[in-house]
Amino acid sequence: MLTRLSLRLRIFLFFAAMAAGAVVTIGGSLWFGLSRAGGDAISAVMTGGILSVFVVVGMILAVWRLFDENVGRAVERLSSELRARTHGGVARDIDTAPARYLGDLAPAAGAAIETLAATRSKLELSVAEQTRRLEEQTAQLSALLSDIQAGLILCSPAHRVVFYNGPAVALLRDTGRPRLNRSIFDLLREGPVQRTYHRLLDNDELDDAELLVSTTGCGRVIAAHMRLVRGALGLGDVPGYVLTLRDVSADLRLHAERERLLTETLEALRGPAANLRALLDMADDEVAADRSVARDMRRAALELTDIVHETAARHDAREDTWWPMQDVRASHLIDALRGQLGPDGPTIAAPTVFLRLRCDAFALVNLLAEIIDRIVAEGLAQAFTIDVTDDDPGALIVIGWDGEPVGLDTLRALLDDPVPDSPLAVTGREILDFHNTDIWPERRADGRAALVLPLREAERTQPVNLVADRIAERPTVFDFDLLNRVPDDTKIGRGLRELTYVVFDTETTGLDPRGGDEIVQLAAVRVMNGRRVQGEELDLFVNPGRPIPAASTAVHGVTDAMVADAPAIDAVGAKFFRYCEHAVLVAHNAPFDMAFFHKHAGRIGARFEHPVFDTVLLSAILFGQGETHTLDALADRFGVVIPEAERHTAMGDTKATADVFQRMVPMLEARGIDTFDKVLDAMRKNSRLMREMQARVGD
Amino acid sequence: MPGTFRPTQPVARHTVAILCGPPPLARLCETTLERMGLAPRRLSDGADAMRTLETAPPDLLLVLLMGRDPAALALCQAVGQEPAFAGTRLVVVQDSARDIDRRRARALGADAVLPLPLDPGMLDRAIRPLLAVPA
Repeated sequence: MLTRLSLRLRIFLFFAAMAAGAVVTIGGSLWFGLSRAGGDAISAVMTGGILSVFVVVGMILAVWRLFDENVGRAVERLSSELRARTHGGVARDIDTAPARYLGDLAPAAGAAIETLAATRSKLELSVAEQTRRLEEQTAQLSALLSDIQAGLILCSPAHRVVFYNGPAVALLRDTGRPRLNRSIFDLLREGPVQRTYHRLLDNDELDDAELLVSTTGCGRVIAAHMRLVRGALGLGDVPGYVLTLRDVSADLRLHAERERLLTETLEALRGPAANLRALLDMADDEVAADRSVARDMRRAALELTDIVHETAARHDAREDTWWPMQDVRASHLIDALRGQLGPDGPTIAAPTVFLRLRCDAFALVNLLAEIIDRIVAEGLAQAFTIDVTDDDPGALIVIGWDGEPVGLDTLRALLDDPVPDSPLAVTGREILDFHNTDIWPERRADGRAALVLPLREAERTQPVNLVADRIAERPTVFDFDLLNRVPDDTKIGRGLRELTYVVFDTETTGLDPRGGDEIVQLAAVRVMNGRRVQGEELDLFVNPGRPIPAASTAVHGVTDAMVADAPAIDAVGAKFFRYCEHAVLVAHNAPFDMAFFHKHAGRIGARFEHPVFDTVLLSAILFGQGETHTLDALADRFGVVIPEAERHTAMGDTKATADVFQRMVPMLEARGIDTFDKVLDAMRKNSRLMREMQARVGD
Repeated sequence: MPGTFRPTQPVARHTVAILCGPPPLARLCETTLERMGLAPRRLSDGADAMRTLETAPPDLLLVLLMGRDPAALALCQAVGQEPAFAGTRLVVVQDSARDIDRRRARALGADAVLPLPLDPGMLDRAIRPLLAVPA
C-alpha cells in the first residue's frame, strides 16, 4: 500500500514515525524514572525530559528537511529527468547539481543516458536519412498534387477523410472544411455517395462511376467521379474510394439561365411578331387598310424592338462563362508565355506580380504568344514589357513596347484565326469571349504603345516562390494511417495515440475573463496519430469590442488596428467549435482560455463541453507539483524551442504547447497512464492544483 | 421616345461629321444634330472619314459602331490616339451594352459612349459639354 505513495511522502512518514518513537521513548523513560524518584528530582527530570523531546524532535525535523531536499526531491527530479530523456526524447545532458548528495547515482545516471543518447543518435541518423528521403518524396508528391485543379478526397471504408487537396477545400468552402478523419457526409449528401459506393462494391467488374451530389450546406452541385481503392495503401478487405470533384453549379446555372432567356424571348416575340405580320397583311389589303393600321404597325414594331433590346441587355449583362477556368499566378502565366515564345523569341521584361488570375491560362498564353509573334513579324517591336496590374475586382494585362501601336485591322485578322495548339481550334476572338473580355491597342501616357487585356477576376496574393510555399498555399493534407481506423467517437478506454487533439491558445486583453477581458487572437492546431496536421491550422484575430491595453499589446503584439476588421467572438467561437468536433482540447492553463468560451457560450451558440487536457496538470503528474509548470519551463525541460518572434503569439505558444504535449504522451504511457480515462483520473488526483487554477479564472 | 426630343439651344458654329451605320440610325442622328442647330456631314465609310479628318478635321465625330466593325474601330483608334486629331471630339454609339465594350471604346479614345436604342436627349446631353456649349 505504501508503494502507492510518493517517495517524498514516504520519507516524511519515516521521519515522522522516528520522531513519534523518540517522543514515546523519552516519555516512557521519564515515567519509569519518575516512578522511582522522589522529592525535588521530579521537577528537574520533567524539565530535562521535555527539553529532550523538543531537541530530539527538532533534530529529526532538521535531518528530514535536509534529507527531503537533498535525497527525496533530488531522486524525484532525477527520475523525471531520466523519464524525459528516455520517453520524452529530450537530448540535453542531465543536470546533476540537485543530486550532488546522492553519491555516484547522478553521474551514473548521466553515463547511462549518454550511452542511451549515443545509441539513439546512431539509430536516429539512420532514421533521419530515411525520413529525409521520404519527406522529399512527400514534398514532391504534394507539389505535384497541389497543381491538380480538380478537388480530390480519399475516404476510408468508414467514409472518413484520409486525404484532400487545396481545390477540394476551395470547392467546399461554403459547406465546411475537409479535415482529416472527418466524415465525408458532413460535406456531401450521404445518399448519392452511399448508393454509388455500394453499387461499386456489389459489382466486381466496376471500379469507378460518375455521380452528381450536392453539398450539405449551400446546395452546390458537384459532379464527382468515384474510384474504389482496393488492396493499396495498407487497406484491408473493404476498399476505400477516391472522389474527384468538380463544381458544376455555375455550369448548370448558366445553362438554365440561357434556356430561360431563350424560352422567355421566344414567348415574348411570338405575339408581337404575329401581330406585326397580320398588320402588314392588312396594309397590303386596300379594303382592310385604314389609318389605324399604320398606328398599330408602329406600336407592334416598337414592342418588338423593346423585346429585342431587353433580351440583348440581359445577354450582355451576363458575366458567367461555361469555359473551364483555373486560378493561376500572374508570374506563372508570364513564365509560361516566355516558355511559349522560346529562347530565341523576343525579350519579355515583367516586374514581380502578386496576383492570381482566373482564366484559361493555356489558351491565354497561346493567344498572347501569337499576338506578340505577330507584332514582331510586323516589325513593330522586338522587346516587350508585360505588366499585370490590379484592376479590382479583376486585373489588367498590358503588353507594352517602344514604337507604334498595332493596327486594329491587324489585330482583328489575328483574332479571327484559330489559335495554334488550342483545343477545338478556337479563335482568339472566341478565347476573349469565353473570358467575357476584349483586347485593344493604346498609346500609354509615357508614349509607349500597348495592348490592353482586362481580366474580370483576380485575387491578390502573397509573395511565393519556393515549392514549400506552393504546398502551403494550396495544401495537400493526408494521413494514410487513418484508412484502417474504425471510427469510434467514444473516448473512454481509447489509447492516447488514437485520439484526435486540438491544441490551442488565446491572446487576450488581460487576465480577468470575469472582469471584462476578451480574446483578441485564437490559434489552434490539430494533432492526430502523434503528428501535427500541416495545413489545418487556425490562426484568427478576434475583435474584442473594447480597446486593447498597451500593457497587453506589449506582451502579444496585437494592436487595436489589427483587430479592427476582425470578426467578433461569436463568429470566431462558432468556427472554433466546428474545428474542435470530436476532439480532445489541449491547452496550457486551459481553465483560463476555456473561461472565455464558457462566458460567451450564448453568443457563440454552443457550449464547449469537450474533454480538456491541461499541460500544466500533466506536467504536475509527470514532474511533481513542486516543480515549475510555466510553458517556458516545460519547453526548456523538453528541449522545445520557441522562436523569440513567436513567443507569446497565439500560434507560437500553440505550437510549443503541441510539441510539449506530444513529448508528454510517451512519458505518461511509461507511467501506465496510457488511455483517455487514466489521464482524467490522474488529473483529478492533482485536483488541488486544478481547484487553484479554476479559482483564479472561474469556471 | 425618340423623335419627341427638342433641343434647348442651337450650336451651329461647330462642325460635326457622322460615320454612317445603318441608314435609319444615321438618319435619326442627323435629324437630332440638325435640331440642335448643327449641320452634320455624312461620311460614307472609313476611307471617306480618314480623308475628311486629314483635310478638314471636324470638331466632333459621331461613330455608329455595330458589332466589331473594323473600319469604325480603326477610325476610333485614329481619332482617339493620333495627336494630329487631338482637336476632334469622338462620340461612339454602339449596339453592345457590355461593360468591356464601353471600356474598349473609352480606351480607344471616345469622349462619350452611348448605347442603342439611341435616345436623342442623351445624345444632346453628351455632345453639348464636348462642344463647350451651355445647355
